[in-house]
Amino acid sequence: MSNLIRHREERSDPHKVGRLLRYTRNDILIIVGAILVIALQGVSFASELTQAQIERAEEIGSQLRCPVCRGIPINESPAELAVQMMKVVKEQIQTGKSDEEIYDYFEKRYGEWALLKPKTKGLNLSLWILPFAFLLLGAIFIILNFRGRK
Amino acid sequence: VKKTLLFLLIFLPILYFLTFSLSRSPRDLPSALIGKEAPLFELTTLDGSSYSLEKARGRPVIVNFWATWCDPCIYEHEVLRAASTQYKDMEIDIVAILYEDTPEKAQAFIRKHGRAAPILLDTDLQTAIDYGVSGIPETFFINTEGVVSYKHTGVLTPEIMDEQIALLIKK
Repeated sequence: MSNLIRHREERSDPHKVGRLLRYTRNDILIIVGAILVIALQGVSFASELTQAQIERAEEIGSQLRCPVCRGIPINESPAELAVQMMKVVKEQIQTGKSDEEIYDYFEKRYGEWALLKPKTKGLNLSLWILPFAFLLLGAIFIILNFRGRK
Repeated sequence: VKKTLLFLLIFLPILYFLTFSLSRSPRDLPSALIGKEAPLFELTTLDGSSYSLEKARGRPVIVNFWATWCDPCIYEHEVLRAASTQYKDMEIDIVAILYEDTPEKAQAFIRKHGRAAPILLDTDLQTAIDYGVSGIPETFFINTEGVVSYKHTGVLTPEIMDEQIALLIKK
């Protein structure tokens, strides 16, 4: 019973309450500090990239096909794999890799399919030339038909 | 007649290209890794130990990418389990890499379906990226020289498993 009275007295003692509050404030500061450290560690990778590097990563990401999506680049996909691939792009930019080296990295793993813009060499050249060739042929066809009618 | 023929000659190849080329799933494409050295990895297993592909050099290795949320993987799990038992005495490593999933769910899956192969955790998906995984299940067969000899997309059947293991052993 006397213990209970003493406990009540301690709780009502303004000095003790102040000390308790001080400890609580310190504890809060420590907790806030710890949260900040953890949060800063989480964003430290992103903050190491300059604005120009972030833009370059976005540009490279826009040229790489998301493997688990339908025809969208990795920089636009919320898929976990695409997000990780973007992380790899950023890491490689940080290590000083060139755009070509980064494209090669993904091409070696996923094949040329991973590149949204096919390389202008070999059979791929036909992809770049044929549309113009068809356009030219179409124009010739129309002109010849038009002249024939005249 | 000439004009119709000319039209068909131009139109049909375009139609064929649009139908069969653009609609092809990336999963139907052959892996860029076939005939090349398998990307090395060292991953933590579900029970906390470590598995290194480099240390497995000299033994055929079957690397399966799976997840508990993948329904076909449940069927495939049985195939892997049967192969693990059947080829137990041979020096073949069968490993199952968990893809976009949690260790807790994998533990629960094992409790329910039994253990087929050591489960490796690829938390940052780096190994999946290195192997060009574009969906699951996907299985890679690596020969004793550490070269990827075959990639199977989709559910493995016992026949495919036996056929590929026979090829790996022969080499």
